[in-house]
Amino acid sequence: MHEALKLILSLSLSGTILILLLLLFRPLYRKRLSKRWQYYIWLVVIWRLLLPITPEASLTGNLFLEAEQILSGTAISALLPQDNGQPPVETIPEAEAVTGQGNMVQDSIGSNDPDTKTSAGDTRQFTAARPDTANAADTKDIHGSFVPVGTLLFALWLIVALLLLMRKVTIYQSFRKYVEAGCSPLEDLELLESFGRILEDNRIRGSIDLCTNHLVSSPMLIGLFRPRIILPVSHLSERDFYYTALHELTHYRRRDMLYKWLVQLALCLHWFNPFVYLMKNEINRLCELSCDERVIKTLSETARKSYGDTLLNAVGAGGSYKDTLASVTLHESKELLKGRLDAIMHYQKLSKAVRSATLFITGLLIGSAIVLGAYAAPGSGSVQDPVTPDGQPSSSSASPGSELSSDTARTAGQQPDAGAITDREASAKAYVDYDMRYEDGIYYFHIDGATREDEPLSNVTDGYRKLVFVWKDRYSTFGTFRDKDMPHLVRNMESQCRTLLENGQITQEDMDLYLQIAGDLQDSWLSSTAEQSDNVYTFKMQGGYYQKPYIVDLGYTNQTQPAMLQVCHSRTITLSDRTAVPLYYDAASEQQLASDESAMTAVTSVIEQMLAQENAGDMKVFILVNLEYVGDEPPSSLARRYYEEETLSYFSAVFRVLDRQTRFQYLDRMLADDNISFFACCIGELPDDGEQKEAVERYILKAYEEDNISFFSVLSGMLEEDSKRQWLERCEKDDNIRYAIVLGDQNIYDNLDAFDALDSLDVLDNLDALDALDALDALDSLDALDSLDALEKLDPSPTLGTMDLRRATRTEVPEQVQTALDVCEGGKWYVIEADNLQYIYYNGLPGTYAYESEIYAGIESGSDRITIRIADIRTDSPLLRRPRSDGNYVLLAFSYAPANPDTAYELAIEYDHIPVTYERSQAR
Amino acid sequence: MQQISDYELELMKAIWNNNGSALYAEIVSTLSGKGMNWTKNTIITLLSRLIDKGLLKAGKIGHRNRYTAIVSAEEYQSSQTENFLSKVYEGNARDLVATLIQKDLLSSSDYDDLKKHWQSITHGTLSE
Repeated sequence: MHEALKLILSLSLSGTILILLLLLFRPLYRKRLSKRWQYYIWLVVIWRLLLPITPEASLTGNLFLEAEQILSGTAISALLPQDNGQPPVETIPEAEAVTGQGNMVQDSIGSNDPDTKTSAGDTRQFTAARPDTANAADTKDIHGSFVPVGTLLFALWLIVALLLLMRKVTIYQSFRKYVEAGCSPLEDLELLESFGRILEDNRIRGSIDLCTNHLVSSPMLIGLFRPRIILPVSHLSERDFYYTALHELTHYRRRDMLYKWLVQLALCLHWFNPFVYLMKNEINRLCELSCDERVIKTLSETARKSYGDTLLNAVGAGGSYKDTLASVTLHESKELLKGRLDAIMHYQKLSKAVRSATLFITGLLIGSAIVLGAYAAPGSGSVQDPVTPDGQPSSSSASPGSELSSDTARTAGQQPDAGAITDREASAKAYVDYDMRYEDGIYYFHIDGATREDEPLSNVTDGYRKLVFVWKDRYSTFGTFRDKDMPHLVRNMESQCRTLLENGQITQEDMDLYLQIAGDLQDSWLSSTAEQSDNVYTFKMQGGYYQKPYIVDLGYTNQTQPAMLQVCHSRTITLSDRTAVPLYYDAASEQQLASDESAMTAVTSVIEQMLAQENAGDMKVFILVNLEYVGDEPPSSLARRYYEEETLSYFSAVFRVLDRQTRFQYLDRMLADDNISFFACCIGELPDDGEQKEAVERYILKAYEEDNISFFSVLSGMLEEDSKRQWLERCEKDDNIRYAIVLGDQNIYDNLDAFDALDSLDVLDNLDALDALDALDALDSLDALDSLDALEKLDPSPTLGTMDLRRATRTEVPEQVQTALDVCEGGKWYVIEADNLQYIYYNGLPGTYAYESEIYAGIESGSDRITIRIADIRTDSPLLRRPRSDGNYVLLAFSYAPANPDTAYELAIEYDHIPVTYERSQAR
Repeated sequence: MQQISDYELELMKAIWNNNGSALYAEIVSTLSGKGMNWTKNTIITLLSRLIDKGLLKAGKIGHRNRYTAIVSAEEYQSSQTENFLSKVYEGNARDLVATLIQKDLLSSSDYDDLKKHWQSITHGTLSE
């Protein structure tokens, strides 16, 4: 067999063993070791896969030698009849020569080009080894009959590898070009400055541009020489922007891009090995998880929660139609985000014991990689290395095993809590209790028992904030800060503190304390929504509860310092288990509560029901949003009334207590009425005991059959992984791309670069590829937007006409058009008119294409201008593959009816952003 | 000529005021003199955008960057004025001057100067 081929196969084999090791032991280390380690440990595997470096004696190497010996023995004897009837005795030295010679090969292991050298070297060596025989020619013959097969395989491997590599690069480039072309630079100075400060805070060198491109489905970092971050929407909240930027910058700083390209390289070279694809998926997953880990390492618990919120928001942003629906409850894509959010919530720093175990396991893995080694044609000096049947290089594998057991014994005995103190907690030991009061822009911190009397008289200009630290005998003031300075509060405070410290006005201890408190304030600032005004809290709502004779609507929050709440009545509710919770409500509710005892009972009982849920940890304070008296009216008539009045929160309260049959009847009705907000809310309310699953399956099938994409999209978010996959297959079979895109639009991983579009050999990854491409089919999703009434947001100009633009195939169009198409030359654009429809045609694209359109109402010029943009998207996504018989061409059926029949219109066509000229013709 | 944002215009002004060419440090000090203390990333990003739009070019002096304006202040002003005139006044300069006068944007002494200048041009050509 060809030398280099052996090398690759052996590398692949060693790599596979390592991959299997890591994957098999994953359940053990998944939760215990840091994600960062889990992410970078795969580098060992990649090294093993890519670098042809190995000790002379190695597991895989010896394996190959042994196999070769057997093979060459049998192969040679099989070829015997062909080689002029040589006496068998001549061939045995041949076998020896294979194992014993080739020191030139040994030397060339370190070089990158083993193929030509080794084979040439081998033949030379072989013939040189036997100068005394007249059979040199025959030896060549025998060896020569090997070469074709081996070289053929090697050539095949090389060609596929090179092709893959080239194609990946091309796809990446075209993706990058397409995205960059549609980018508009961010002009908002506030955001740019905020971003610049984040860069400075994190000491990042190099400059990064910020742009928006609404076609992109999630934020991404792109570009090698001029890196830029592309956002799908420009109006992110301050908090979302901060966390998104932090996440992307972490990718930038760690150069995750390089790592991904390394993985792709390994993929190209080992394209035949399925385990390498498993590795790639694992690495991608860990890339995001470890990036999250890095970001939240410096965040406090509240900040971590808001980071999770940002992730959740990101699922919805960028053109997805799922989260514009029902406001009260909506089933979130639990399964998908669960992994990431779990990791965020359960993040904790590792104990010392775990850290040393980590180090040890890493060493073990590296050792295995070396020991596994690769195929190396044996050196002349190493003939002694026994190719024994068991092929075990002596001691190296035995001792790690025993070391491992003794080490774990040692670590198990260690105190587990020793290293568990984080930096923050350590300084928390120096923590002092403080009280906070907020008034008119000034935060008063009462330290060490100080009270309001100790406060200085202070005020600040409208719109600005100050921090006043009040001790019993003194006070320190810091400020002034604007709202947009608050996310960087600690940094601003630091410089002011330093000045005071240098002037001897405060001590180092004071400064640490002030910065600590400022940090808390900064975190809680970041965790509140951007629109929060000074005196209002953010409460979460769950919708109404029907508790006869009332419907109770309660909100809750996890903030335990409601000192900021004003103009609210409050009382403390004692529950049946003797615990107490505060309840806030307005004057109108005060009346109701005072006049009717059963109201209070109803509210208390609802609070208890809510606290019995699994997210009860968040519910520290309750607010009574609404209390509606319904008396004795039966739920069925209430439901009917609320449905007709379209009051969703009351309806959903009553929905919960209806019987199963009635519930399904209402769901049917909602589907028939196209009442998606009610549907989405209520289907999320169904009990988890299988009723919900049954409902989802039943209605998603109905939605699909009735071509109701908005209902389909709501329900698709509630599917389980394998159901989703089944649906995806079905959509592919039906060639139903719009629905496939809806299903696939679940990718929460940001498109670090175009890698998601590169992985054409893995079907599941095409969900990612679709993400990169989904928004390109903007016109197809206009139907979905219709159902969601989101067209109101698009604010169509009343003077625009209606346009119909569809993709078509040559076999679909009417006969006269087909005849017209046949006479068209390739490489030219045509617009062919037939029966009020116009067909745009271009023959000669290398691949598939996407299109979008734009109408510009010509108020002055009296004619509307329609621009159709076509882009060439090459991808091997099986979901977008068109049948070969279609050939590669553009064919769009188009019609336009202007609002005012007198208005003319012009049609402009752009291809890859360049306007093209086209020829008009009439089909007879 | 491509349109530039207000902040990019500030950068261009800083460079024009420095004889059409400035080092990065000089730009920063001019801006902070006007109270615009932008972060390094913002300034570099805006400068790169200006280079892409063809208004600036960058060169290295040692290891520092020097930015030179390709379009001068006068060229920019005249192109923007032409745009403005055609867009808002549909090429009718008389209406523009009328607005300037009505809104007191043109002082009476400016107006006299203008009149004198106009007469000297027109009478100059007539007398030839």
